[in-house]
Amino acid sequence: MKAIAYILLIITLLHCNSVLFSQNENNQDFNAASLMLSSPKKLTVGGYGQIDFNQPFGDNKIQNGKLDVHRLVILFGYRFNEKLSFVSEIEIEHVKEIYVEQAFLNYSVNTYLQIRGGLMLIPMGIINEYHEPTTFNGVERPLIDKYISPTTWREIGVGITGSVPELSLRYQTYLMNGFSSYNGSAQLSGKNGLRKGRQKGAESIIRTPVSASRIEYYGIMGLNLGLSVYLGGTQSTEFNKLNRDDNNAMTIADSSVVKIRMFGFDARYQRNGFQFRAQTYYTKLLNTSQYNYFTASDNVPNDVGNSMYGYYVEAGYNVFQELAKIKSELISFVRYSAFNTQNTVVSGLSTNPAYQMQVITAGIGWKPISEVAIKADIQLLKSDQESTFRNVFNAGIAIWF
Amino acid sequence: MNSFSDADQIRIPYNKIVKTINKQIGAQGFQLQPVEGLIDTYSQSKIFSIQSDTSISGYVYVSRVNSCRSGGCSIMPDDIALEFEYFDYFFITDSIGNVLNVKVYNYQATHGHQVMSKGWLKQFIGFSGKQSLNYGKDIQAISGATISAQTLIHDLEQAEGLIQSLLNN
Repeated sequence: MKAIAYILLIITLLHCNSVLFSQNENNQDFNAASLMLSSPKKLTVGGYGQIDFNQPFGDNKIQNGKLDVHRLVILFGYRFNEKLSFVSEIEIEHVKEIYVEQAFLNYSVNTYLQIRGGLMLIPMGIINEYHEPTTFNGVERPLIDKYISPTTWREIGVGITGSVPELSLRYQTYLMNGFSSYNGSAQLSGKNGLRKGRQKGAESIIRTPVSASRIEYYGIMGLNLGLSVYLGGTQSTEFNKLNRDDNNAMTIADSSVVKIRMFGFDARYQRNGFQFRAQTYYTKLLNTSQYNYFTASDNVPNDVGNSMYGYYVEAGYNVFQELAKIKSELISFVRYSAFNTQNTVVSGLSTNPAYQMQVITAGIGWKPISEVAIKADIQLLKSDQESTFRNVFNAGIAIWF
Repeated sequence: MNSFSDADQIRIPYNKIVKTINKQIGAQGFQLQPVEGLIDTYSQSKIFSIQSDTSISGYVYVSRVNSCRSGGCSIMPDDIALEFEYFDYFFITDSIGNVLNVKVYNYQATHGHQVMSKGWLKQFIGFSGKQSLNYGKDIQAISGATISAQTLIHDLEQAEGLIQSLLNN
């Protein structure tokens, strides 16, 4: 019996050895992960993160501050060959929420044309694409990039991008999935605008795609201008399995969607340590009257406005600019921002003054190197409903590698 | 200055280089002679001397440098293991190594396209490698292209150092 066991053991070991040998002889026997790791030249690992402290103050009431690992994002990029590459970002928000922020395949024909498909960022404004915390002033992203352009805004799609260096232009144009406006309950509201309607590529539903395009001009030194356009309707579960001949049901389902026309214009300018930024968004929403009644709660119609807007202007200066021996940067900045998720409403719906906001942010950011920023700022926030500004002190650590 | 496998070898844009030399130096009937021994053989970067009859009227440097994309990139130009997104560029100098023209001719990165701006690249004209370039001070910063700009500056400084050592020897 023992002899049989020894023979079996020897056969097994010999078999294992032959398997290992064949793997070494032929790389195709390695699995994908080991191949990726064995080809470090084609694999890149990067990431960014921000750890924030937010403390409201100036009120008679005691208010707790908040300490938060706001986001930690790990990037894996893999270049299959000179033309074909894959980019992914895995995001952990508030320590416990995991998302895939980007996951797309990119085929580069040349400088002028790249074709890509997968989970991509909607090319709207500055922050949605340049959202790494070391690239913007202030601890938190500008609030218009939360309530008007819902960053980080990403959906699954396909499209083309490229640069025309002779004209100093870069373009992007994609066919993508849109917001979900109805999924058994309303996803859009006056308070949050479009933000809750992001599907993020997570078992997202689609009936009609949207178009998202952006063009940038960088021909004047230090200046970057961008124009973004987003056109299309929202998605709704109400259409699922609907008989096309059932006009009544189709009419009802039509009330569960809205059409969106969003435009963004942005400008960035840097020179001699000074830096200026301006961003504006305007969003037109159609079919909101029907949508608000369709998504009424306890016979109270929803309050989605039929237009939204937001803008900010920002100026900053590197205090160390004239100190030739100091390579680090100390940026002081001030930003004025205003937005309204209910800029206009359909007749019969009154506007909510709480949705009209003004925000003044002033602060500093020290960058010992370009991939690290230590930031602090004070934000003054006031809605049209309030008579005085609320105050928040923010501080944070931002990294990017 | 990074290394690549044979399959990923940098393409030398001879037509563009010749056109630029004609415009910048006015040289005709010249030859581009590879300068050997300055750069490691595994490197993507290449230096050529512009040979006109018996004299050298300038130098051409062609290179591939790391770039960056949103959310992840390497700002370690010497670390070949982290190569992922890149762009190719060349510059031309006069006979004593002063930069006459810089061109980015192949951009294969998802962000940082602004380094292709002719206006921004003009800042390098006259640079001779005798002093270091400080991004944001000596060279104006660019919105949205910080890493691409910094890697280009770093590579260009190193290349100028090599050309100056060639001239000194």
